[in-house]
Amino acid sequence: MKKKIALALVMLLLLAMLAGCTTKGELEDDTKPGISTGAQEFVFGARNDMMTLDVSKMNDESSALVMYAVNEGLIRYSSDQVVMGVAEDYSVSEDGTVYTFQLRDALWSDGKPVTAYDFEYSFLRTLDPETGSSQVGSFDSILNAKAYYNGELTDASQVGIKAVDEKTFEITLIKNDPFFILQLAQGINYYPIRKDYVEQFGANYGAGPESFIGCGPFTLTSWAQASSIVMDKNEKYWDLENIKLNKVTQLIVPDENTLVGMYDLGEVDAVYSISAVQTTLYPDHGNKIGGTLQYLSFNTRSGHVLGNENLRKALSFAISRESVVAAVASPGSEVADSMIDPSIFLVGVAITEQYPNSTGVAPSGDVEQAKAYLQLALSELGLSSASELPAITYVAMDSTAHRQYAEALQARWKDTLGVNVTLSILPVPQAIDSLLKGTFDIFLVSQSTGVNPDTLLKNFTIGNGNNYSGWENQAYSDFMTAAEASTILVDRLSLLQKAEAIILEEAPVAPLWLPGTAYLARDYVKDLHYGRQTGSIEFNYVSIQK
Amino acid sequence: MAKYIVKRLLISVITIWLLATISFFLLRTLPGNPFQTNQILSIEMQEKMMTYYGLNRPLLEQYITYLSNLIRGDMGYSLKYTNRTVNSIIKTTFPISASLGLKALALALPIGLFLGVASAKKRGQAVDYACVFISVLGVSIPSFILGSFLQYIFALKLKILPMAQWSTPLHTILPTIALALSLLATLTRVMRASMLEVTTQDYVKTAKAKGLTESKITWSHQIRNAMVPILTLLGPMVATVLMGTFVIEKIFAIPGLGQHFVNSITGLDYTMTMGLIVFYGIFMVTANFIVDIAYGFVDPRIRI
Repeated sequence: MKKKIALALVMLLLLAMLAGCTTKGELEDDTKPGISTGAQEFVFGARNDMMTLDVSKMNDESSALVMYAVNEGLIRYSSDQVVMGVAEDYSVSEDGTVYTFQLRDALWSDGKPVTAYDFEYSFLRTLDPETGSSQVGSFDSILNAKAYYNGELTDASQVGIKAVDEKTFEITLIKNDPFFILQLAQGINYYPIRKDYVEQFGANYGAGPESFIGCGPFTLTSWAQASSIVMDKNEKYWDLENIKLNKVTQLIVPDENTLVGMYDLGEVDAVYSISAVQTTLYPDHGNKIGGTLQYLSFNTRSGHVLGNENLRKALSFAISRESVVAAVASPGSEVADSMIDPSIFLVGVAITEQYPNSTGVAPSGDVEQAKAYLQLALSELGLSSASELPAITYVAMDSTAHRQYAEALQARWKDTLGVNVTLSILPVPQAIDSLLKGTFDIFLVSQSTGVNPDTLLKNFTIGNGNNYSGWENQAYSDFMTAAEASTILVDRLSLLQKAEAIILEEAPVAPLWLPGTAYLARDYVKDLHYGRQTGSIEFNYVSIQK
Repeated sequence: MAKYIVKRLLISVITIWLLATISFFLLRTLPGNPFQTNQILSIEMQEKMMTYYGLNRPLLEQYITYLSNLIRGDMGYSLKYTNRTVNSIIKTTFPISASLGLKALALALPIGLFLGVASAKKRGQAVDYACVFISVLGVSIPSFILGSFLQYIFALKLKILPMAQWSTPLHTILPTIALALSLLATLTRVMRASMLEVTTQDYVKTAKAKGLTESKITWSHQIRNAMVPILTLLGPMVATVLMGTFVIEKIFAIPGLGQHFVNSITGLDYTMTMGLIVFYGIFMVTANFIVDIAYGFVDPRIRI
């Protein structure tokens, strides 16, 4: 009998527990957590958490996005324009090698002044071999930076990074570089760092809000790792009057369906990056392209069948870039027929107007032309049909998008040319290993296009570590070297254009498309911008108008 | 008893050491290195990073360093979350996974056992079929379907529960149910089978012959004996569930440990992967150890 009573009690308890849950649920109905009211609070959802707040080590988009809001460099991109940040003004020496920045009276979020020493400390810390930063390459154009991070030079005072006084910061370049200021505005590793914070927290610097301080329009209030990031308006910010938001919350929701559901429920006001499937459900989504070019890298090294130029061209001409973009690529992607990102603007003119180069491949492909190139290739190789070609291996990174691209291209080559391509889908580290060691025939590379045409084109010179195709063309390398040495922008552009014409003609790479990003935002979110600097959203000047 | 515990403790330590050693070397046989990510670093830069983190030194030397640090409880810094130690990541994420797991167990265990007993007692009747139906459903519906389904009904349509995130107790209800259903199904199945098995045992016949009431037989003779297989199952089940689940944590945006099991391996975050393996290992060995001791209390026939 006792047991029966006990059992009944247990059941009762369970029932009470369940019942308790539902009533509570109904009560909370109209006060959903995270919902923004009219109080200038902005909530957005993203799939990934940031990795670190340590400027020296930061190399991911999610960290860059938050850093852009909670910290500020000398100059920055804002709504695609280069604007002054902590620097009020700058001047360039006559020979173009010395940049002198005049700092404004900016304050850290705890009220201490931002000084040139904070920049000097930050830059030198990143370069210090003891720091172990993988981002040192972004300082290569600065005098002695390379020697310092490689450990050949131990005297940091010889590096071209110098705080002249509290308000004057000086950068000395190896040589005149007309693109330097754009690079400085776009880079994600050029923020100031407070020395006392690094000294206090050591290796844990930047691991959480308590071990980090910034001088941007917002301050980091909390960071619940893999869950949410809360930023409040920084009352000490120099441009406070233009900052309208009081609070920004980033919710980290790895599952896309969940995230979009939260958008429907009004739990988030904006969603950064949605997939092609979701765009069909939200016809009013926003798009942006630029920042990245995806191209096929063909292994041209001896012993690889794609050393044959005509075969490379046959493969490139056979691709209908337009159909792949429509069917598989992320929403807003655009077909590319050159090694230039058309979203780059130089001195106010779209780069595409300065670079009329093109591969000559129509967006829908040119199968007849491809077949002609294939015949040429086969006769050069002494083969009678495409089926006699040696094995061609396409190494792809194991991600949905890359697998779909690979499968689409494989099917296309088989159907149009009868060329068999074997797919080898590998986890990211192994695939990259294969790319760098040259054990592939075809690899789809996504590469940042940076802010100037150099960024991409300089990778293909002889002996460059990023010249994955192993392509060696002396004329191309000479043009690139000449371009780099040239200090007059117009000359430099014309040299770059000549170099680009060569690479497009010899086709060690086949430009495919510029992947786009689609996003969702409610109408009442004003002035949200999808920027270049972070590769993602800029909400600094957002206001909520409900 | 004391001798047994000491012996078991010793075996546990050796198990963990073997686990750590084998995993350490197996992990390093994977091709690639942690610095080969989507942001493609040049080979020279990768070499520089490998040197910085000491990953270029002889493997045996690295192993000895790792082991001596491990003994002191230091599992090093994550190679991906560069400024956080593995210890601190486990410290912040494990309590979340464990809390979700405990809630799910608290829900699944009583219901699962009750359904198991009920269906065994009413074998072949409607109650039995209903219970078997629930358990087949629970075992066969993948958690990502169930999770999305619950979100659709309770968050999107009825709007009575939040969709995701981990903040208020209210937020824990849907993931708890999603996680509990498969546990409940397994428990029901095992309990049912084991109840049916003991029903035909001689001691049950004896009890009946002695004239004991049905409920007395069920409680003192059947359930107690039928609990032994459940106990065996419970050890690893508790350990697994408390460690977090990748799918449910992803769907409900729960910042638990589950995501790291998958992401650290695909990203070749050596220190993180090793930390998780060792932590999981210790947890699993401990759970089994407790179960073995508990046998002695549940079943007097088992002497330890």
